[in-house]
Amino acid sequence: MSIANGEKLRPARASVRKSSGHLAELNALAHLLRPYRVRWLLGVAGVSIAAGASLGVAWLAKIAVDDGIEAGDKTIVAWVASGIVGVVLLAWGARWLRFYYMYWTADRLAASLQGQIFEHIQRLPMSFYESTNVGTLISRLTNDVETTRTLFNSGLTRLIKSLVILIGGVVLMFILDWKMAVLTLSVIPILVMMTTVYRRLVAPRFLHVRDALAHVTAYAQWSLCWMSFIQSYNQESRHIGEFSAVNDENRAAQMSTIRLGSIYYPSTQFLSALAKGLLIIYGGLQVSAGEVSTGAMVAFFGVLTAFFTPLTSLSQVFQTYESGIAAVDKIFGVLHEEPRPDSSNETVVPRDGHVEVDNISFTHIGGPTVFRGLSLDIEPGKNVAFLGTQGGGKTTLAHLLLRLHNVDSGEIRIGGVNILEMQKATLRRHVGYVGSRPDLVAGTLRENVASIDPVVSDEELTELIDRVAGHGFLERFPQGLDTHITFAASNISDGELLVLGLIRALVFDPEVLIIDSATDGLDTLTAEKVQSALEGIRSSRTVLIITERAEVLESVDEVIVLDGGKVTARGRHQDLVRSNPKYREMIFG
Amino acid sequence: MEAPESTRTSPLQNQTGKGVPKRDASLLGRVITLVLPHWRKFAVTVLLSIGMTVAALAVPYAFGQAINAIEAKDEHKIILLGLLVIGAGFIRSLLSAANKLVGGSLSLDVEMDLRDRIYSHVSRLDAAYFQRVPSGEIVSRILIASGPVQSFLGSGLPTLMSDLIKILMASAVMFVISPVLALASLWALPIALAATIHYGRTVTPLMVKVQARMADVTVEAETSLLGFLGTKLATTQDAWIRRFAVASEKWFNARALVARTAANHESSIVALPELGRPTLFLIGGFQVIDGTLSLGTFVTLAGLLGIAINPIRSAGSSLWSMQHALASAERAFEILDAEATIKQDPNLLRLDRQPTDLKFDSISHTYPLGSSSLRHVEYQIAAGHNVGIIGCAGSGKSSLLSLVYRLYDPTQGSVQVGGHTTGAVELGSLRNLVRFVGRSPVIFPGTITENLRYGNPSASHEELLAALEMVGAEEFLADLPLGLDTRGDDKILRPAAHQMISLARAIITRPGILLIDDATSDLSRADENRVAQKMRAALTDTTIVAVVRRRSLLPLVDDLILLESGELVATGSLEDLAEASAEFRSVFHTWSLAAITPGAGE
Repeated sequence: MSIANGEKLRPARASVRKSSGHLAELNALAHLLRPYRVRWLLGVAGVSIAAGASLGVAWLAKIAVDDGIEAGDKTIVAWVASGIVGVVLLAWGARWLRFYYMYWTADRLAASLQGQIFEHIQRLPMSFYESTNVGTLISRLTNDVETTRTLFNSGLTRLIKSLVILIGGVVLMFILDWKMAVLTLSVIPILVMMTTVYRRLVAPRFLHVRDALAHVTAYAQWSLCWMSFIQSYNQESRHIGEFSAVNDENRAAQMSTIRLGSIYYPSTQFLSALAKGLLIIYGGLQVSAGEVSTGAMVAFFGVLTAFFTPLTSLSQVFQTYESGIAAVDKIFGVLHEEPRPDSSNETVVPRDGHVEVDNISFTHIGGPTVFRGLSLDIEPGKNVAFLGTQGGGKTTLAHLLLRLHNVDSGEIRIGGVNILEMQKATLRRHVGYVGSRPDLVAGTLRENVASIDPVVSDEELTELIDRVAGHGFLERFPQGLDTHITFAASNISDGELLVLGLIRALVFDPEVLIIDSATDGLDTLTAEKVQSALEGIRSSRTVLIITERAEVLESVDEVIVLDGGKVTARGRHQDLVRSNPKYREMIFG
Repeated sequence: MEAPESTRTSPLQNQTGKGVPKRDASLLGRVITLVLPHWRKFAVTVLLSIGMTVAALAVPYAFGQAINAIEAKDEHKIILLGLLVIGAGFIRSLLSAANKLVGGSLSLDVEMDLRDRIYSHVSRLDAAYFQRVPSGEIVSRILIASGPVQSFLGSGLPTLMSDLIKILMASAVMFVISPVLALASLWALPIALAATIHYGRTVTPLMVKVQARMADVTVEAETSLLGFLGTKLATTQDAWIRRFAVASEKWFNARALVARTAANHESSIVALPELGRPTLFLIGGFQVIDGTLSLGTFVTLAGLLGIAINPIRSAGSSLWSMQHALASAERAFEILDAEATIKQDPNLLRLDRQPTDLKFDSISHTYPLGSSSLRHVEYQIAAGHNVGIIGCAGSGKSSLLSLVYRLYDPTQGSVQVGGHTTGAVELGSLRNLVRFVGRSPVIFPGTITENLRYGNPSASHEELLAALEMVGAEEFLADLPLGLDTRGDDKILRPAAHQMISLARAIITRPGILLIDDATSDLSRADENRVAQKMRAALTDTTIVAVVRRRSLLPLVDDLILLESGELVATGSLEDLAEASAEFRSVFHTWSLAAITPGAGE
């Protein structure tokens, strides 16, 4: 346990040291803020004026006591009273500005930040998704953005308010009486010291809290996604227990920050009482000795009262700042994930369907090496089947062709153009893909097959669906193209999903089509239908089929056997069956 | 997104402002019940607040007395009063430390309780609910809702209480000292309180809306991120980005409305009571000049006024925290109030795990979202018998299986296990008896062993190995450096390995009825064929119903049934099916052709 804590502390300390280096991130935040700087400055002005008002009242109190009450001059008292009315009204307006514009800009900032993260995530390569939990990403988008919003809104407001009162207060105290000022402010170094220690202790704990919360989110995320499975195994209570344990971890993390706070905050309050007590004793003796006026002492007491609230709240600002910066840190952690820049060329790709794989190498990030110098030439219009052991590289090759991953070295060319030089959107129009698990998104049928930004008319789409899946297919969906597809439970069968995947691949009428074990998973009846639909589709383009179905292998121009990232056999199915015993074994088991 | 939409839009949003306060009161009542289990801690925080207030009131009192002592040049008394302030401050700090600890732990108690409660409630809801409500929505309610409720009950409510205590005690002391000056300086306080209440009423529906918009944002993010491969393949990234931006913008607009309401009210709530200061100065100042009031008392009153009106500032934010909490709590309660259509009743009949027969008694089924799947299916399977279901995509194969383990209940007719209607059997015992394995394996974070023992923690190592051998997983496991201690989500494991683990996990629970829906689709045909034969030989006591999509699974089953558009059109052997259905005949032809290819080994 203690070891684990020790380990947790190290990276956190590193981040505390880094905190002066947060400038870059604060800068980036400031950059986001730039378009709204006028409104933000109005808010800042509002905060400052409202904060200054309390000091103004203290100064007016001095005049009231010394020049009015002690001098017996009622006119001065009346003037001071109306002066206070003026200050209150001014502060009223200032506070309106503060509330409206500080909220407004913080919300605006949160929305832009959210948009930016989302956009960035969308552009990241597949390897990022493979290594990052969706729950964690959601937590970045919601919890961390919310925390950043709080930093900007209440954190920044408090900071400005505190600074105005503190600086104004110190100046005012020295004007009133420098000796009383020095005496009362002598508690400040103690406060600063306490604050430094507190911050150092609390910063890693806040990071820990955020991590623990992310665990809770992640646990809830995946376990709720699988709840039907969990229920089918009668394991609800186990997961309730586990969730509760993850929750308790979060609780323990939060409690440790509360414990520190319960020592720190009351101590700062005590310092304020100490300063006031010292003021009464020293100032009282000074006044009674005639060194200082009563009004000055009253005003001093007023400033001191106003002074210590922001001092304590300034330390609360650190709390907001710490958790805020921790959140910003995590957000920028995501934003710093570099997507490989998409090509900016508007390449014209010849639609001949020539696929060339030229000496490529590829290793999964943190995983196995798949290809070491693979080369393949697939002539335009040929139908080629890929066969091989699990892990032989068939699907990885498909993913590389689609640029879901990028090759480490070598080149893949479609129509003679290096796919790295195409825009991804262009590539998708030339290469279609149907996988064995068509990862559909929750949305309508139309959104899934023709994207949510339809470039294809409903008529064209219906025609395509009828052609591929038969006339009856669409009729089974009560709302036709508008039928919703949900994740959690199946209102659509696996077979139907695959048909949709195929239709999606064909929407852009690509001249290269990759079919990754898609029909292998279909039940035979559906597969039959799809196969016959595919006949027409296949004859007009280059098709790469990853399959084990004998009838498909028979129907293609060539079979390529990929094993351990290498081509171990290539030829017509009938020839391979005859001449290659290993091939025969693969097909017929 | 019509189905989630209806759950997202709170029914209360459509209500007019008139209904809101009434709802607020009952909702607030319900929120406060969350604190009841921890009432002792709550009572302690209130008591500590009272103590802290008394200590706080001592400061202006002592200062006023000190001013009087200064006028009287009583140095001894001045020093005594200074020490009194320091002492009171010390006591206040101690009380405050205790308050922070108790209040903090209270607020965490409430937060954890609420999260645990939502989670365990959701665990009891059924597939129909998960189909309606995306899990991102639930997560957002568990996490985002519990935060504000926690901060309100743990700090907002106690602060509200202690603020009220401060206002009342400080005002009371002022009235005791000078009723006239108390009135003169506190006159605007009731107006500010009224404004606070008005603020609360105005901002509540706005906050509900903000929360709903935030949940929309979460759902957009989740749906697009979970389907990222689909998003990438359909090149819908830009469209998603726009769609997300729209959701985010709606959230912002809802927020902006809140900002305006907050600015209007909060600025007034703070400013109004401040108007008592000039009147105090005017009247009090005149009284001191006239000699009817001592300067010290005047100063005390000014200090007390500060204590009485300062809390109003935070009353705004306490109220804010209350509204926030109510809006969040409402969304949390929506989940807690959701009821499962498939209910658990411990008093129902419990079935033992044993070979069990299975009967589909005139079953029809239509999904909650309206697509129909099955029509009048009537079929009986003897205990220990294995049946394969053949049919097109959408013919109702998976639906039929889902009714057996009560993922759904049939709209008409009944499923009978061991002669009992599933609805009359205790759900837990039914789910121990019937095991379902689907196409997409669920692999938990943890080792392969942990995944295998998921449904049967007491399974012996031999049982695990036997099941793995049966599903053909022994070979690849032998190759793994860590063997069964390899993590289930390790990248070394291919989809086929996951399917094997998933199937073995089901076998390890020794079910009476095993439902297999395309659970071997990632295996090669040769492997599938071997697995089918082994399972049939080993699981003689288990009734197996399997969706048959490939010829290689045929060795598993004794009989076949053919479904077409939700109707049972034929039963029996391949030949029987081919005779009954023209559509199937062509498949049968292909299958037979393949069977005579040399080396097919079936």
